[in-house]
Amino acid sequence: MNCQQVEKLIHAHHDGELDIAATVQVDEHLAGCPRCAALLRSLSSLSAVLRDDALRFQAPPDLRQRIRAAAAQATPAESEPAARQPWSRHSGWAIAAAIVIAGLILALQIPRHRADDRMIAEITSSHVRSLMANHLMDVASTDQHTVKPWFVGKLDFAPPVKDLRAEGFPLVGGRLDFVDGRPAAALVYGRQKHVINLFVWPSNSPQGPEPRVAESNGYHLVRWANSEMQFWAVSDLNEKELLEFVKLWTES
Amino acid sequence: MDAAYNLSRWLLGNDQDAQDVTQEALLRALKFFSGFRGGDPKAWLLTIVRRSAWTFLRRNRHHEESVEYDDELHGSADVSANPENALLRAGDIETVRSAIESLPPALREALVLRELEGCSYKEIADISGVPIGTVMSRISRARRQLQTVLSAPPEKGDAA
Repeated sequence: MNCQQVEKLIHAHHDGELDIAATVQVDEHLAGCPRCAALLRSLSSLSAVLRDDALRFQAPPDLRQRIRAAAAQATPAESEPAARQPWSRHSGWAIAAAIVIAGLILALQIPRHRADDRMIAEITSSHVRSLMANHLMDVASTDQHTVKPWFVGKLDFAPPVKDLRAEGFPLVGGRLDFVDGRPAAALVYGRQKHVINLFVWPSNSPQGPEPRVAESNGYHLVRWANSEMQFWAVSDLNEKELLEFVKLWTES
Repeated sequence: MDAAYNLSRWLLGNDQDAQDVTQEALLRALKFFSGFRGGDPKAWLLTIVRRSAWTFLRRNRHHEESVEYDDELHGSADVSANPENALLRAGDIETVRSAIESLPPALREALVLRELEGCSYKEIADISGVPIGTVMSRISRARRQLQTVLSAPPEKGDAA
């Protein structure tokens, strides 16, 4: 791919809308083209600015009330032009309308967390797949100085690699994975018989450094971010030990 | 509900109209709830909000914003923003806000849905009733235009 082609696709790439083949091609180009890489960075910083909650207009609190009231009144009359309905039918409509509106309002609050849920599901299934398909590692090494260079040329970023053997979480290897529509580094750590996958990719979310915990299908997930990267640790370890791992990792 | 208000507020440019349109759209959504064919309720509602907002604009303003954006007409007169300078002024939220407001409505709509509401291209295509390719080009044009505006030297306004 040349710069012109990449410029056409870079927005879709940034939005995670490209298919895997195109993503890989664009990434290959980005790795060798500082100009296009800068373009992508500028898109990330633009998105970061736009994701500021201050830009989002909040509905005034009384609007919700007003719509609820209007819904309870207006719907039966409008949708039933034959106005000679028995009274009970009308109040039935009003109740149904109120229920639907309440449901609608509730449903609309869920999608704000949908992206989160999607990521949790995606990370969990990546983790499970890595254990199932006998594809836990592309590079098996307990040496961070072997694992880190292995990623060079395979990713458009250099993931930080740390070994926590002394703390009881030995590094066992690394792997290329694909998360959130882009290539990511997966670092594999052991803890007795348990496996921890730590997914790392460049940050494009305003997620803070505070670790946040989630659970999915019996797996625990902890995610955090710094100014450059975002991190998702996932394991069947209990929450306490996984948090300990995260703490050691961020502090070492 | 916040998403509905946010979109209409961005499309209409003022609070009162946005409230009216949000109310109208939600009531309409309720009335036609039987027409909901499953899928993402948010995208479905935003489709109705968007249609209400455009109808409102067409009814109340007879020129400027009511003209549907012609993607062919507004070709890619791309004033390539210098990414290094981009966003120097972006720290100021009001600057960003007015930069978004300066975008043509169709570009603003695509950008708000993508960046503020986190919709996918497919969802935006459904909401706006245009092909995904058009969504892609609107979003890239909106971003380029924003970057250009935000990286331009600050105007001193009337006082200068």
